Amino acid sequence: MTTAAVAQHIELFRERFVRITTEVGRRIVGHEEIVAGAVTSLLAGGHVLLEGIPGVGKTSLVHTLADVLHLRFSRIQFTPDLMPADIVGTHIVQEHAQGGTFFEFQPGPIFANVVLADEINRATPKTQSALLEAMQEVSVTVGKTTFQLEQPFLVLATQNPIEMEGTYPLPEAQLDRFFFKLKVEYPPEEALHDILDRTTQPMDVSVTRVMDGAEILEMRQVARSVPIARPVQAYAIRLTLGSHADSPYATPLVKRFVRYGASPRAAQTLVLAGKIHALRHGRAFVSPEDVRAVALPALRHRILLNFEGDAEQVNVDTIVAELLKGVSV
Amino acid sequence: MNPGTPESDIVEPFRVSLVSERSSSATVVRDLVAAGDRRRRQRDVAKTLARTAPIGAAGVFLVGILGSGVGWSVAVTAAVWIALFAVLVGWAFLTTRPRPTTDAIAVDVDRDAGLAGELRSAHWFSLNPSASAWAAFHLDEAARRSSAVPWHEVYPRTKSRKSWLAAAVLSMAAFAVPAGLPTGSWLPVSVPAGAEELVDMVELDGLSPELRDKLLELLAAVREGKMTPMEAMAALRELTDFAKVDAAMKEQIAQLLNDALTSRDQFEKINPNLADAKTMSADVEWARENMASRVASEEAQKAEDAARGGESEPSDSKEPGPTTEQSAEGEAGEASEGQPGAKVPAKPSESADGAAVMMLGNPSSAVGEPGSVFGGKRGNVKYGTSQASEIAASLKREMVEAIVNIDRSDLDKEDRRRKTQQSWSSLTYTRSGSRASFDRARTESVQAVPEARKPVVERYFVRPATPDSNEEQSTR
Repeated sequence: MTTAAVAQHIELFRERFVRITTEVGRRIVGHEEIVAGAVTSLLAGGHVLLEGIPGVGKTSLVHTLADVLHLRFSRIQFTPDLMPADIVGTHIVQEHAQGGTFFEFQPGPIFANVVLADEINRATPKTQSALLEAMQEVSVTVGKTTFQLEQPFLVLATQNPIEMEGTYPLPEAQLDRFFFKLKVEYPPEEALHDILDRTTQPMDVSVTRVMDGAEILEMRQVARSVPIARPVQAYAIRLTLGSHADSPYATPLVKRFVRYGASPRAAQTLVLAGKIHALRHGRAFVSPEDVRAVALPALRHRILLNFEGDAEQVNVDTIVAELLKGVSV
Repeated sequence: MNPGTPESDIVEPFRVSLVSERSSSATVVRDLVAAGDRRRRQRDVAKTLARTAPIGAAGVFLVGILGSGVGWSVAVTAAVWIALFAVLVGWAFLTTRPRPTTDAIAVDVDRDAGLAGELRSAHWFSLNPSASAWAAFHLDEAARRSSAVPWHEVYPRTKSRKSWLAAAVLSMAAFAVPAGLPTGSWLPVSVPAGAEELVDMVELDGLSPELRDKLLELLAAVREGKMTPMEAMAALRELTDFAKVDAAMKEQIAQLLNDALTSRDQFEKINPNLADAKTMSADVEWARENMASRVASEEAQKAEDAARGGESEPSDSKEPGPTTEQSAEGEAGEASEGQPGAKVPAKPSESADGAAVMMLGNPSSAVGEPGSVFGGKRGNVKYGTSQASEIAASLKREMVEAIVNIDRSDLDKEDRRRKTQQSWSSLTYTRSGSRASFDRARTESVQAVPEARKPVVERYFVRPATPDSNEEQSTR
């Protein structure tokens, strides 16, 4: 690859990224950063956890993203009585034409490119854990058979705040498997006007498919090619280590309120998302600012508070913000 | 591609060109970081010099003025100026010399140039070569963008014309202004304010200029605590002009010195360094009284000697009086005869020459504690000393000892320590008994199994024997 080719790759990546976000923005109003975060996760090969109160457009966002991408889409509505087999699939009895019966595997909704796990925290942890292998290994094991899922594979899970009734907190292992946790805030007043205009008037808000799976896989390769200087990588590592209470980089809030800090997956997320962030802005290198820009969605769900933190209702975002302020670049 | 061609032969030319391009970009990046760092340090040094130079020049100017007042040569001012200049130049040279670039330096330069981390990242890749085309592209882009940075705007030259002008003017003034001032000790450096007024209060017209200047100097020294009145008096006696002064004038001078000592308290307000001297008021008072009595007796003695000398001058000139050693021997002989408590009368000298006559001086002053007036046996001073300067010298030493004691330096350091602020806490601890105390008496005693029921209870836990087991047991 020549330097000219590198320049072309960067420009193409940037152009495609803008194309996706622009197309999603035709239907989704006022959540540009959420859309960008979801697309970043898709291009990094990660999964997204969208958290927000009901009615702020989480599910619509995922629907729109699946529509924009030429990918297979499936939706799983998580309920307390949902079973793992309802997600991964099960063997059912079939009859031969000649007579006799046999078991045949019936794939579940997990066999898709974009899976919307709606209200994932309404299912029991047992059912939630059915997604673990799929999210990490991109495969599903049923019985003695392991089925490889098709790439690109993206789980977009939505959840309501934990404080709401009838919800189960996600297991830590599953939380760690989400690339980003994006908080969908209530739309501002101006955005509400746009939402009402688009949904209560005869307006065409249909979106077109702008990209297919092959292009997404190509963009993933490009994203991983971006070089990162060791000092910048060291900064990402310091940020990750700083989320541990016993780390020398830990800030006072971390030391006081954090029980478990971020895992090495967090460092991977920081670097990979930083690369994509740099490409989004047409750069072929990762700067500390890129790492800082993605630190909040990458770390907020990977930091577990201790009892005191829970009791005092400490916001993890505050801890991450202090971490960004306290850890030297 | 020719199938027979090894892959390395195809790849190598491209790799070489890539590496050479990258190395040139890497060199550019490193040079830019080094240049930026040097510009930044030069700017900082220039700022610091611009602030320091006028201050230094002002200092040299003051040295020049003060040196002129004290009587220093211009060479001293020049030496100070050169030393200061050499220090500043040396510091500037050491601070701005080239140094190897590091990541921390690259961070600073990158931030100042507003390159959003590109120069820093490229600097790392320039020091750690990579075969990646992406790294090469990054280096090329960083070199291109960094070269386009207007570094003279990032690190502009410090506009400190006024500062340098002020420094130059002050430097020239440091040499020019003292030249226009009268040389010599025109500056009352050693004479504190008030000394002149003190002298003017007394009629000192009879003093020679040299003696008057010396007196002023000594008054200043006494007021500053550098010298005791006794030492000052001894120093005055060393001057030849002092012998010509009459007794009344000497008393005035002694009074002046005492007044200078008294007024030191006021001077302490001006000079806080003498604040510690307040603690020696009692000793100073004693020293003052002692000195006044000595001076008075000395002058009276001299007057009497003068009166007697006029009468017996012919015989005295031929028969010198006994030496001090002789007097001491005589005294010792008398003391050894079993009269330890008796006062040793001073032997009347037949000679009017020397201060031995002073031992007899004023009869009233000769009586009393030895050493309280002239002639008392103290230290190594021997009776019969004929030189007033020796007596003064001995007194001087005594006063030095007194002064030494005045500041409590001979006391144990423990006494001067500040006592530790220690006290007992008013908080008390009251042992509180546990709420749930265990009282064995309140516990219910376990019901003991009545003796009559014990066999029944024991049987309850014994498995009843089956008929088969009974048979087995019986067969065994």
